[in-house]
Amino acid sequence: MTVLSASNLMMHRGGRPILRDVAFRAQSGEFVAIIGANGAGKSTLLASIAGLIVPDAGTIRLDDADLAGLTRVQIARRRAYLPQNPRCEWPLSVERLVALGLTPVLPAFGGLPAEMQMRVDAMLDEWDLVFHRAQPATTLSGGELARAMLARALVGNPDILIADEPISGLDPRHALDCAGRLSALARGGKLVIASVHDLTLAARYATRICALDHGSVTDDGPPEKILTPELLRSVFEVEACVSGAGARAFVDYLTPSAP
Amino acid sequence: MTGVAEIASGDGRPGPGARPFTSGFPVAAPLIVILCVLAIVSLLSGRVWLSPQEVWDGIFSSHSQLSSLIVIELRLPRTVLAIMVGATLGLCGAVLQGFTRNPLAEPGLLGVSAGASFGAVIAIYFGISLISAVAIPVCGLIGALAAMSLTFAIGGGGGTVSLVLAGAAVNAFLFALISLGLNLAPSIEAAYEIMTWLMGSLANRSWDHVLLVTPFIVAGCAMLAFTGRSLDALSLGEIQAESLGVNLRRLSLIALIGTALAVGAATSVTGTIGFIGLVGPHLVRPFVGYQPSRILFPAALAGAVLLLAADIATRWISIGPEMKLGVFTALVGTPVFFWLVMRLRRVSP
Repeated sequence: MTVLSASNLMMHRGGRPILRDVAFRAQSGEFVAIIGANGAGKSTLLASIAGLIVPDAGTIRLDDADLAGLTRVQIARRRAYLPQNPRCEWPLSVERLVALGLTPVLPAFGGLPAEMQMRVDAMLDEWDLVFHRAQPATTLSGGELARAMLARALVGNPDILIADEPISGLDPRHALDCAGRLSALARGGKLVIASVHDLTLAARYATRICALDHGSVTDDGPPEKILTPELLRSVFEVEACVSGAGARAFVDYLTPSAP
Repeated sequence: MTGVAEIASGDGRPGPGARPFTSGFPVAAPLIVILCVLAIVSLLSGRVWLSPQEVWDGIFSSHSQLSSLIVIELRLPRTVLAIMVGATLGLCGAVLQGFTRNPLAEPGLLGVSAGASFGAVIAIYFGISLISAVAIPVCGLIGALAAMSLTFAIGGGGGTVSLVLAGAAVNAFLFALISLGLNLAPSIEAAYEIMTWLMGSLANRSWDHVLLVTPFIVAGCAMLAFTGRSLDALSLGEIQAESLGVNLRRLSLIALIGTALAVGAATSVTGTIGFIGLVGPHLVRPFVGYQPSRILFPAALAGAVLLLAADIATRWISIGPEMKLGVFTALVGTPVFFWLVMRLRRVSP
C-alpha cells in the first residue's frame, strides 16, 4: 500500500500565489482526476507532489518518508511522471524510448540486462506498440506517442503514476482507450493522479475528483458527489448539465456563467 | 567519411514494423581501421616522404639519424595530437549536441575555445610566448578555465538553455577581446602571429605539447564519457529527465568542466579548429539509432579520423605556404554544414 500525502502546500511565482495551503492524500488503487480551470495550479500541484519542484512551504510525504529527504533516484523508482505533451527530441526507436523509463533502475554500467529487456517487450505488447517497435518515436501519431510515453512511464513498475493532461489532444477513441487504461492501472493497485480537462471521462473513469480553484482545493471526493452544476459554475464559470452516473455519466457545457 | 553515403541515402526513418537497418551496424570497428591506416599514412607523408621501412627503422633502431628525428620528434607527436584533439572535438560535440538536444551545437558553444584562444592571444601580445614553446598552451589552458568559470558564474545552476546563453555571451565578450588584442597588437609581426595562431595548426608541435595537454584531455574526456545515460534521458526533455532521477545541475557542471578541460587543452595547443566537433557526431548518429550515449565513442573516433585526414591533406596540398588546418577544416566543413542544414530542414517536423 502506497500513500502520497501533502499538507499546507504553498507556492508563489512572480509574487502571485499558485498553490494556497493545499492538503492532499491519495493511496494505491485510486485514480484521482485533478480538475480546474487553466491557471488553477494543477500542473504546479502535480510537479510538487512528484518531487520535481520544491514548494515554498508545506510537506509532501511518500508513505512515511518526507519527499525532501529522498534522492531523485529513490523517488524516480517509486513514481513515474509524465508532463503535458511529452515529446522525444531525437528519432529514437519506440523500443529505446520505452526502455528509457528504466533509467532509475539500471545497473551503474553496461547495457540493458536481459530481464529488463523482457519488461520492455512486455510493455510494448501490453500497450499495442509491438508493430511500432523499431519506428522512430518522432514519427508516431499523437495517440501512438501517448501510448508509448505511458509505456515508458510504467516500464519501471512504479507504485505511482502522475500525469499532466495525458488525455488532452487525443481523438475520442484514443482518449477513451487512454482513460480506460489509467483506470485499469488503478484497479491493478497503482496510484494514478492525472489532471484531466475532459470532465465526462473524469466522471466515468476516475475513482475520485479533486477540484482546484485559484490554487486551493475546493472539493474532493467521488465523481458522483463532486461533479455538480454548482461546482462547475464556481470552478469553471460555466453553466453545465451533468447527467447519468458511472459508465453513463455525461457532462456538457451550456453557456458561460453570468459575471 | 563512412557515414556520408548512409546519411545522404535516407533520413533514418524506416517505416513501422521494420528494424532500422542501420542501428545495429558496428560503426566503431571500421572507424578504428581507418584511423590506423591514416595514422600510418600520417607518419609517411610530409615535406619529405618516408618509406614504411624508413619509418620502421626510425622508430625501432637508432641507426638512421634523419628519419628517426623526423618520425619520432615531428610526425609521431603531430599524429598523436591530431588523434587526441580530433577525438576530443568529436566527443565533446556529441555530448553538447545531446545536452542541448540541438544538432548544431559544437565544442565552442560554452565559450571555452574562445577562452583558450584569448589566453593564447595574451601570451603572444605580451611576449610570453617567447619564453617557452609551451607558454601559449599554458596561457590557453588558463584562458579556457577562466572562460569556464565565467560561463558558470553567469549561467550555472539553471537548465541547459541558461548555460548555452551564458556560453554565447562569454563567446561574444572573448571574441571582442581577441579583436582588441589584434587591434592593439604591438607590432605587425605580433598581429601576424596572432592571426596565424588563430587559424589552427598541428605543425611544429612537439612531445612537450602532447605531455602538457594529455592529463587535461584525458580527465575532461573521462568526465564527458560518463554523461551518456543522462544524455539518453534528456532526449525526453528536461522535465522527464529530472523525473527519471537525472540531476540536471550536476550534468551541466560535468559538461562544462569536461569541455573546459578537454577542449580548452585541445584548443590551447592547436588553435581554433572548427566543424570537426559539429560534423563528427552527425556522421555516426544514424548508425547507432540516434541514441546519445551510443554516439559518444564513435563520434570521438569520427572526430579523430576527420582531423587526422584533414591534417594529412594540408601536408599534401602545395600552394606555397602550408595551408592552416583550421582553414582547411572550415573550407571543407562549410559545404557539409550547408548539407546538414538542408537535411535538417527536410527531416525536422
